[in-house]
Amino acid sequence: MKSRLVYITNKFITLTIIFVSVVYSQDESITDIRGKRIPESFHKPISLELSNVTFSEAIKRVAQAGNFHLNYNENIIPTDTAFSLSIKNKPAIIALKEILHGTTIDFILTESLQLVLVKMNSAEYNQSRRKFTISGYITDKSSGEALIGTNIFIYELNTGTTTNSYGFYSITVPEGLYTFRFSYIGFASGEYFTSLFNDVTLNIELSTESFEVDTVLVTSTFEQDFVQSTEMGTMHLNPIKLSTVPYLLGEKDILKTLHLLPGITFGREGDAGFYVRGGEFDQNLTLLDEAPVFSTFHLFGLFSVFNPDAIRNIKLIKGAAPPKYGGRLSSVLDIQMNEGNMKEFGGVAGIGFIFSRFTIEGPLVKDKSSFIVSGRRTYLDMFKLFTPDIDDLDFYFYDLNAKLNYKISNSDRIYLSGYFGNDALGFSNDFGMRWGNITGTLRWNHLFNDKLFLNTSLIYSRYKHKTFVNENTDSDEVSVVSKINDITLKQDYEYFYDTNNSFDFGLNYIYHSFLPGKISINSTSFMEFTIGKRNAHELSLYASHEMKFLEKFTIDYGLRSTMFSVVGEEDTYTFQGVEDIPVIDFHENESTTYFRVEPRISLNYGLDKSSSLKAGYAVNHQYLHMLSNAISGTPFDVWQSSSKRVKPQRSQQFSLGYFKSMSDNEYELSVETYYKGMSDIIDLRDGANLVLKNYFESELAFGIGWAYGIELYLRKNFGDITGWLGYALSKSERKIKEVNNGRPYPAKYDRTHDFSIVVAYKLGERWSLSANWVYSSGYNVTLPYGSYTVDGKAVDVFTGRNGYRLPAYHRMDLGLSYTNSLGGTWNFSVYNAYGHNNTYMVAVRNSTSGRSRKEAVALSIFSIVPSVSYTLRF
Amino acid sequence: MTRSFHYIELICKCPALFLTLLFISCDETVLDVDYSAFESSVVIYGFVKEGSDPQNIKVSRVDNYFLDNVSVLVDNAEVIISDNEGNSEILGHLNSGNYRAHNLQGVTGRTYTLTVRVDGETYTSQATMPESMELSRIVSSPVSFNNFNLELYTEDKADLEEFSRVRVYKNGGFYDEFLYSDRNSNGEQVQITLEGFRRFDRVVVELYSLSKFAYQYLRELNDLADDANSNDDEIIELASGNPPSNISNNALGYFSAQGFRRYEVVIN
Repeated sequence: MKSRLVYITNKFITLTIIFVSVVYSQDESITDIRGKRIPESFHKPISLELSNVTFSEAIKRVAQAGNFHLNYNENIIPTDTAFSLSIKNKPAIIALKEILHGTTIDFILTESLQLVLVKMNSAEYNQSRRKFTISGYITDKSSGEALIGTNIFIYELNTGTTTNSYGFYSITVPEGLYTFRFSYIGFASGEYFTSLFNDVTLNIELSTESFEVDTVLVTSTFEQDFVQSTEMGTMHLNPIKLSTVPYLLGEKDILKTLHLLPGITFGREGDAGFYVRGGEFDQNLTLLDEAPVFSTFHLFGLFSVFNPDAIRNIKLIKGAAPPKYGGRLSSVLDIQMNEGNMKEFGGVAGIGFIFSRFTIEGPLVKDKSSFIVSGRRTYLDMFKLFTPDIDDLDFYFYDLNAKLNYKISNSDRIYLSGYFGNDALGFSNDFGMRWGNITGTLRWNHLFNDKLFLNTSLIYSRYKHKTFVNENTDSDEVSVVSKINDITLKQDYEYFYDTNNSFDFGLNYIYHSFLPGKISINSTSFMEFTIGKRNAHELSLYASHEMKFLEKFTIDYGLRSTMFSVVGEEDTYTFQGVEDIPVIDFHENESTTYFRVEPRISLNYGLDKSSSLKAGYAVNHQYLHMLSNAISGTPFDVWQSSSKRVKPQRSQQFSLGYFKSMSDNEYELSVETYYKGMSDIIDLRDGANLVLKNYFESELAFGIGWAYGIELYLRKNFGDITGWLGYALSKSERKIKEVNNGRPYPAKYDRTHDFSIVVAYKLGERWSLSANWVYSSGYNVTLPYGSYTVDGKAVDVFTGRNGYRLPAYHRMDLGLSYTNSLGGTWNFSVYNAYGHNNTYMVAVRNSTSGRSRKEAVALSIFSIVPSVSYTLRF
Repeated sequence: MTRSFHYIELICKCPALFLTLLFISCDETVLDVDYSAFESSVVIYGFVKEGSDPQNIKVSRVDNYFLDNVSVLVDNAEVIISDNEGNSEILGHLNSGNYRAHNLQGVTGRTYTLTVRVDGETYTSQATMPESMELSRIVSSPVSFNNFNLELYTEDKADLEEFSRVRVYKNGGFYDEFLYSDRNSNGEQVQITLEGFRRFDRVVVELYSLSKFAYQYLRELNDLADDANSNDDEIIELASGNPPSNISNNALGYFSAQGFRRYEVVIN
């Protein structure tokens, strides 16, 4: 009997009681089991300290303090329980309600306004009752923006749900009186007592806690989600809290934060690319407001394209993704942009070493429509400082995010969002390069009824790269363009049947167009080559069912099936107005269709209230492949479609994990293991070169791969000290007939050990201190180590593919931030605080010691990098 | 137009350009290389040539260039070539790792087996000699006064993939060599033009017919040799690797059997 008071321990009461009383005074919907409203006279605030009293004593004291009388039959009252209870300034009826939580006793209000306690046979009671739905949107009170992944928990049923990516929730339960708790980290929990005797729409606004609960960015959404959901290998990040983690050059970076989590490794030093569970970089599906982003970097990988000021919510799935996601093997990174404040105008201005940033947001029509525009741009001057002898050097990049939303009614809402980013590098008109992404998303949320939610999206995404010589001059003009375009139309339905069953289903159509290369030469004559052009249709249907059964089990199973159909166009060669003449027709009229089916299952077994075991299985296929020659993340990466020769890559992953939360969710622990088998995977054959190849496929080789590992993750969610510790032990290998003489070889970024610790320490109201330390096995290179002579030619000899492991990587970063009374934050950070030279790349050059001898040189780009930035919120 | 192609070349080199830019801002540390990661592999190269000329095989070891005093010489190998007609010969050591067979005949269509034993390890390989490609005509054509081109003609066989290596000698000295594949022709006559000859030059054209794999090996070897001979710091690319060998036990190199034709003309 004592267990039902677990949630009203002293700690919890102090956290929520103030809020609850406020909520309560506004919400008059508290009723008895028949739905009859309890009048104000029962709401007298009381304060009580009870220790070790009987149940009957407890209810008597509450009634006495509340100045009302209780009628009941002594036989229904349990006698074996001892209570300790602390009530501070709380309405008496609610105190009573809390004592009765979880018992089979409830109250009825008679015609004469007398309270009568009655005992109910709960099973019988539940069966005979009708079912009703409570649904609504949960938003941030200060801005009106949707809170994604908010937990909704019903005490009486010990069950709950979470809001979807638009902040919508729906839960269907037997008629009755329920206590709902809405919780979202960084926000005060809200508690509502609601009688459900008809369908209820309950839109909730949660307010930011006045006291900082945590200062780290990875948020878990309390116990229900972490322990009780079927989600595995899923990380939620909240960029509002990013500020205290130290970053390179003081610029917050979402992708680099991912490197600090177990199972996610980085490429080279400073590289914003990420590699999940032994996969490749292009095997991550990166979505920005549902639009795929093909190139996630600026400046060859040093910065990601996601401006943290414009980002609201980040979810990374490295395990079994739900069937609504598909198309990549390793992971899903689902990023949602800020919606814009519905209540008032505001913004952010920031200045740092690399960027200056500016964001403005506000209502267009209050509580109906809002906008946000956020941009950042580099100072090209900075680079001129370093290279004063080079005039005319153009070097800059920028990002621009914009979003508009309009609430037509409670059941219809429209969002329009876009991203524009560009990098430029060149010397006036003589030589230049431009590359960048554009995405656009138009979404329409529609509620058919309180149980069926539909989102329809129309999405555009493009990545384009152009290199030119002598643009807009009289001399010969040459340009090389490569691009990929996606247009997506999709519908995602969510059907909330009851607390034990919910369904997701939908369809997704993508029209891809690939143009790996177009070369134009404009001198005395005009010529144009188009190579490798292809178009593809990708149609996917999916359905999944989440079901709770046998009390302790939750299963989410589903299926995704995809048809991918690609058509190649002939390569063309145009010569000043003359008809197109095909030169090489490897792709001409090539047409191939693939059908693929992907089962996805995840299962949760609740061991007890705070721990669970989870298992997952997922199959994924990938139809687009990024080919890169030297370093991935350069604009020379080319996206290649699956074709007759290039089959879709396939992976299947098994994972098993143990999840536990401790000390009221202050600590969370998870241990996960996985095995991933891959087939039809792609790598470059030995000696491949992609630059300006007209038939990339001849440079590719196909085979199998596998990766397995164990990941440990321990996190402290709140208190003055917060942070986490992550460790992964893993192995990832490939086996391809044409590579490494057919012997298995490690993946380039197969890092055996990967450890990170992140700590933030709050020093009073204004100061906070943070530090992180990363240790990771070195990455693998194919190192030339000698030479030999055959056929009269001296050539280098290499280790096997990725056969040489570089020295281990380690680094410590420190950060200090100070918030002044204007709302501005100074951020001081030191990247690589003890100046360890981590290898960026390796070169082999002639040794100074002997003529025919050579030496391998490790090049590192960042030693100790201090930085300062200032951010003002207004 | 040729200038335009230079630009394209420039654009091709962009990735290297960026890496070089990055170099400028880099700290350098000489890597304390872990030598145990490197194998001191045996290298075997040679081929059986059509005809009754002596057959040569070279055996050596890799020169690890991070170390001093590496011995690359292998003069104690046992080298045997046999064919599928029951002929076999032990090759004698000639000098510095070169081994020679004096009696073994190179005949098209036969399959040759090479066995090399070095320090207790055995390396084997097999190769079948392809049919010889032939030149149908060799024509010298004047370009300007005392400047001639040499035109080589061959009749492509539509139903056969042919690969060869052409070596050209002028007045007794090596002049040029290139690899040929019939990938772009289908049954018609193929003309190959060589430039830069004078009247009365004595030109020898040697035509070695290759299997497809031997052709690919030589092509990759050429690419690698270009890289190795440049004086630039060598930046490791993602797909670096040794050309695939056809010799067992992880030996480097290649063993093949090559059809052979020799043509001699005087420019006139």
